Amino acid sequence: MSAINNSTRLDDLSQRAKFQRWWQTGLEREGLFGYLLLIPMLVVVLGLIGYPFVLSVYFSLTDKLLAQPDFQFVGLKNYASLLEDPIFIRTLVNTFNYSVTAVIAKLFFGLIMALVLNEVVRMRRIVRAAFLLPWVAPSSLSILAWVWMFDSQFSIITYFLNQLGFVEGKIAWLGQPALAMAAVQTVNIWRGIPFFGMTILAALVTVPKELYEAAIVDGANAWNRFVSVTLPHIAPVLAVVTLFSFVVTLGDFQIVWILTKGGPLNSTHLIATLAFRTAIRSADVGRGSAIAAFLFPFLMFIIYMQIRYLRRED
Amino acid sequence: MSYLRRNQKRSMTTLILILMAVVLSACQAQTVEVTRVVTEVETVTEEVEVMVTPTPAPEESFAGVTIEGIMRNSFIPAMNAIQANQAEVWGEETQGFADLTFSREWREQVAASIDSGAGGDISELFANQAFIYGDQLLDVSDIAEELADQYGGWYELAAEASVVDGVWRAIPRAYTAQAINFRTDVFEEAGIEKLPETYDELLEAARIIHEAGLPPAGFTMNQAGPNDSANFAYSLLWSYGGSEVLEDGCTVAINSDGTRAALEYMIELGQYMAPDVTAYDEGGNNRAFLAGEISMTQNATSIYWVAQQQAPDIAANIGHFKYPSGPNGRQEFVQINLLAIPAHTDNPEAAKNFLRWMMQEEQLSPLAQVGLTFYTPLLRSYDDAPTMPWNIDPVLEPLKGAADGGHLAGWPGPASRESAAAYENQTIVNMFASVLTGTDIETAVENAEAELNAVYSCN
Repeated sequence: MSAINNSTRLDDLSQRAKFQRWWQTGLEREGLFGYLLLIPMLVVVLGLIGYPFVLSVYFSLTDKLLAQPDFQFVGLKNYASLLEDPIFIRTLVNTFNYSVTAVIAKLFFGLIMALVLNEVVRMRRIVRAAFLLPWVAPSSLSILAWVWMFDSQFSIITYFLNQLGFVEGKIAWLGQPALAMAAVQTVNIWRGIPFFGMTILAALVTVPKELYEAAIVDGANAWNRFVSVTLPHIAPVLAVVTLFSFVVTLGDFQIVWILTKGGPLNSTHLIATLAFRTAIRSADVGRGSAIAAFLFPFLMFIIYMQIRYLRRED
Repeated sequence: MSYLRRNQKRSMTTLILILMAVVLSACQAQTVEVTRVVTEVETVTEEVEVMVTPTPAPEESFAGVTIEGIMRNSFIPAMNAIQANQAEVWGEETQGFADLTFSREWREQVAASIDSGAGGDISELFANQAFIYGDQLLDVSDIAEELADQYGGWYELAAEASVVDGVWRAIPRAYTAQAINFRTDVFEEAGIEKLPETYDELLEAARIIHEAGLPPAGFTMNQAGPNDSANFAYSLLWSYGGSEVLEDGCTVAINSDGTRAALEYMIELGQYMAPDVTAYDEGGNNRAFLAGEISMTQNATSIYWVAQQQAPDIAANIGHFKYPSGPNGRQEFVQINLLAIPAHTDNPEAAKNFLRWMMQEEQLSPLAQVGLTFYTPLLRSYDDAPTMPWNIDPVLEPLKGAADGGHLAGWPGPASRESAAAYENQTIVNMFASVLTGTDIETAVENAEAELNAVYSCN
């Protein structure tokens, strides 16, 4: 009896040792260990992004209404009807106007910010941290501050413009379509510049100093050094950060929702705000999902270009 | 090695700075929140003690049962406090537990709850939402009938907002009585002795005030202030004989002479209004009125309520008059709040008991008193109840019975998903706002018609 027990225990120990060996060897194998590390992120991405996304695309092909369990497959009907909807067409134009203008401005000011910060020597860390504040501050809080700054009666911007003599009286910042669009773009630019600035700054510090010294010896002025040395070195980073920001800005929601709710006259509605209003407030989940998914092929193209570019750089 | 350490030090410093920034921002937010809560508690404690009077004990016992409620977060803190206290009393009386959550995004939470079939045994709804959720809500016809018998019957509007395919899917708890808020001292200074009863008289009053150089009229017309804007826009449209849809509820009818007449009126009124009315959000006209920038606007009684709390001198000069009538009579848009029980609830009996109990006078009356007509019951016996604000404060008297003959979005068609969608699109508000910002009438009508055609269909 005792012999049998000892034999079983030996078998167990042998099994455990085998498993430990397999596990240790596995951990040492780079490929397997890499996949193991990926699992938590994969679960998060598939569960919180992948599943809702697939469901959303599926709903966009149905006549699903909020809180109604029964719905039918309608093919591309929702997408076709969007093309006849004046609010959607306007929203599409708004979204591109908003994104293109904001991204160009963020790139321009972010580049300037990075170039300036790269030259700052004294209190460098504090200055850099201060410039990051718009980006790290909770968006809902900072946007609420902008609500007051664009208030038609108590705007501090209007106050200063009045004091400086540029305008007289009140300005309905969020009451005129062109001004309202400029206002929401301004907030997006304000929030986005630090991201551009810090990313470009990270690229700037990698440019070898010797190249600048050689350029100076060759008689290059500041502009020549920027065009011939700096720009070629940071170009890959500029491309990636621009494409990334464009994708994120196209999906912007909170700035517009808090500031204007898409108004006035739907002049600041973006794809995300219109999709939210249609799917949740108006209860048309199918149509709202179609609005949300409308730009997906375009975004896929941008992401494809981004990945292709990165691979080429590698 | 030293390079590595230096970089580690730099990274740590940067990280600490970022963390400090985030913590500072978070602390700032928390401080604001705490301050607000403390002020609210201090302000309302006494009121709540008075308002939560002993209530009749519900007959049934729900020991161990918890019901959750998703409620609208009122801008009047006492209203939330009173309801929370009432829920506590209900729990004590029935040995159950009612957990009410007051949220500013309550509509989205209700949508998520009902669509997913989880959470929320009691849901507060708004306007046409009973038609959005339909049979996903429990039949509460028995409660509606009992309440009608108890309290002198419902306004017609109550059934219009709650009866879906012949079944009461929600209990209309209250509506927001709106009126024209005006400055009595400005009217006096301008020599306006008779309060406007028609839109023409309203226009004339606005003109006189404008020409006298006094704070002008300011009627919000912006989709960022949807409730006030819709109240004035729909009421004006209907009073001039226009409507977005015919009685069948599907034929778009915005392209009409009535609509054009209403738009012409708005252009004329715009000449005498504050220039930034298209920029006001929901509180924009309140702020402008309290700051003395405007002297006349559409609103519930929140301006009066805030003035009473913070600026008694202004409150002393605030008056109200009913929405005027037009060529098609006095047609007023009304916003309703309802209570419903999602069909997915595991505790239908407890939820019904709670709903029935919350609608009793002992519970509803304190809300109506504190709400200053912001929370006006739709049961007729409240019109003449001596405890109601409009029977106590003469300034609020014009708001009495404002829902009588009122309509929901989509009138003269029935309330429907489509009318709720058209309301959410703010098509009517935008049509009026566009003529105020320079669009010609024909283009405004065409744009509205195209938007409505994308929503309504007779097929």
